[in-house]
Amino acid sequence: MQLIVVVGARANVVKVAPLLPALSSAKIGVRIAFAGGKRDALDCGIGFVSVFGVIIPAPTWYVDTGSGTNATTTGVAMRSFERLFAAQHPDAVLVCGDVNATFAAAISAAKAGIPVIHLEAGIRCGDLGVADEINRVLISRVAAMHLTPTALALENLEDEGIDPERIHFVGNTVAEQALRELDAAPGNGVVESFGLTRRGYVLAVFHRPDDLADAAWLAGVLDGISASTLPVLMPDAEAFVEAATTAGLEMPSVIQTRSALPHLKMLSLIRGAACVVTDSGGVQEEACVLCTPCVTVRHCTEHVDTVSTGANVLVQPESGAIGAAIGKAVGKRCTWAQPVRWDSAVSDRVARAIRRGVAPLR
Amino acid sequence: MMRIIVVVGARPNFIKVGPLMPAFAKSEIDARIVHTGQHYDATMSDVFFADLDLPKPSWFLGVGSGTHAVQTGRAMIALEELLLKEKPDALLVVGDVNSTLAGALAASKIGVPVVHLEAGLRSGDMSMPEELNRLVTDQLSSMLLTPVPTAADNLIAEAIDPARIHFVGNVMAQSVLGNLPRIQDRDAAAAYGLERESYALVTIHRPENTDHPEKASAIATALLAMELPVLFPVHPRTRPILEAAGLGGDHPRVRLIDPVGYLDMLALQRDAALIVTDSGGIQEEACMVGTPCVTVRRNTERQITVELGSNRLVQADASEIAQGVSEALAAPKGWEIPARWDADVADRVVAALIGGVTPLAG
Repeated sequence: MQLIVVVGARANVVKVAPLLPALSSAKIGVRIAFAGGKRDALDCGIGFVSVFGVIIPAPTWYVDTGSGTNATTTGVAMRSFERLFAAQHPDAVLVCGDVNATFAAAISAAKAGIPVIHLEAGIRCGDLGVADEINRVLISRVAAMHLTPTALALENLEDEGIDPERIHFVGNTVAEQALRELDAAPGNGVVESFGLTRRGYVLAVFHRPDDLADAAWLAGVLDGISASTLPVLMPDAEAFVEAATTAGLEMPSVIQTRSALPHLKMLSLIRGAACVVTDSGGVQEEACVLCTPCVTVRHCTEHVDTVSTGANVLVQPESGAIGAAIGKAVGKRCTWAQPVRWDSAVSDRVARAIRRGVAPLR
Repeated sequence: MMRIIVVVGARPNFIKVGPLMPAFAKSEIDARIVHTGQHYDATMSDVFFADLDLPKPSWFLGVGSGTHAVQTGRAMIALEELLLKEKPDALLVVGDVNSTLAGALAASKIGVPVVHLEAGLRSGDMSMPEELNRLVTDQLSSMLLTPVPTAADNLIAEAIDPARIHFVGNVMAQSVLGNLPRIQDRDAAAAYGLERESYALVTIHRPENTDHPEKASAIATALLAMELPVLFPVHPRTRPILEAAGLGGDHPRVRLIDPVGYLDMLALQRDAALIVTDSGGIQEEACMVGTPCVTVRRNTERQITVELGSNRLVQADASEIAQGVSEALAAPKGWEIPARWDADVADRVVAALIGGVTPLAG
């Protein structure tokens, strides 16, 4: 079986990283089409690349997705993937997550009659005003196999009329990747290297372009964070600082900014923090599985299980609410139950499901 | 006053929009047409606009022909730009062509509510690009205007909120009813030396028939064996395929002719003894003009015409077609016209729009 794995964005790399060795051991031929920008994939020799410290086999193709609006990136990516699939005729295409390139790959494959496997299928925030939610719903409509991270995601798909035989509750590869990376590097001293102590700081991660473009949102977040009694570390802060400056806002002194960090350092910092405050989807999942309380500043989340299990709280971008939520989160202990199948066997479940065959849509 | 933009891209779209524009003009809806240029043949497009009394498009995007991804991508990018500039209250898309999908994708991602006319039709065949366009467009639509009662069942099974669904009926039927009085005396068949009720009208253009030489040849065999003379308007792209299948030259009974305008085509359908087609719209028009129809396809999304007895579905096989033809000619006429396939469809569309289009976000 020949599979093309589409990595639609840099953030997709952690979703597929644990999968690739598992697929290869299951004798599934895998080649990667990388739409995350070639400069983020650093050659580390012997056929592998490192994308912010996450090692994956070197992509066979770097796919142009252009830049600009939703229509432009989706439109350009559709054309690129249509050409690629027409030339390669893979037996199936695996896409993950919910970015425009993911949808573009899915619709192009479906129109070419190539079965689409969707990893991280069925999660929903319930707001179709969110572009990612639109992509999620649409990918589910055209996919032939749905690999869900949670039992709730499976229910969502069934509610949308997806044939239950096409849905496989495999668990969360983001959690698997986090567990594997940290298991391989115990006691790595990352927290101390930033001059911080375990549980002695708040980690802030904000990067959604829609959020950063909203001056009121930025003001609320900055004000809320600045109430923290613990030091705040903000890695990968360039875009945030630029947005704040543009909005005429000053960065409070309690926030230490850093540039982008390798994934293992990020995971180590998430694990060591008293709490994480974020608008990132992946960080919500990683904080949950690494036992760090999370405060998510958004009006909705598609990672509903992290909230229901008690690891994560959702707050609106108002300074008072954010400040209070951080205050509460730093005192919280990790007593929550981990979501089912957020473990180290997810990729084996994926490989087994794909091995059994992907039935094309009628 | 409510401002909407109506997307048309291909001939079936023009027919559906025909009755809407006068209804909008006498209501509180300011509607303007954007022509994507997806199917653009200067003569035919102009003839259709003239035949249908359509107002000149306010915008022409010149998307042109190309693969699915190329057409959809270009139309999306151009439509997004237009929508950002014009900021209409809603975008109305019709049918299931690539321009329909492109409009729905572009609008939904920038928060312009999408209204889909002819929503909820399903063939159940995911190898048809139109079926993928229908599935995706319906998920993106804030308001779904359905032509038949079963369309709502299809949509509800896909988790569409029933409050968004309005059973308005079939606007194509309204177009037929409105135009038949204008062509009472038109004898389009005479130009081809044919008498009324004495010929079969044939249109075959779908890839599922024309891209498979064995199917094209089976259809040719069936047509050559028919007792009735055959009149076959054919797109220049399809002509060589049919000629290769044995329908070329000056055959005494099977004549391939250039495409004809809307009113001539309607007259040809009305006056035929029988119609053989793989077109969606013609299955409906045949039902309206009282001519029995044989549909050569694996399946149809116009099941209602089969249920009511105006249409029968056969596979692309010479003996199946022959049997369908003799059954169609022997079957009693005077079938029931489907509910709301009447002259009030456009008024129902107006009433639904005036009732307000609730955005999906929230």
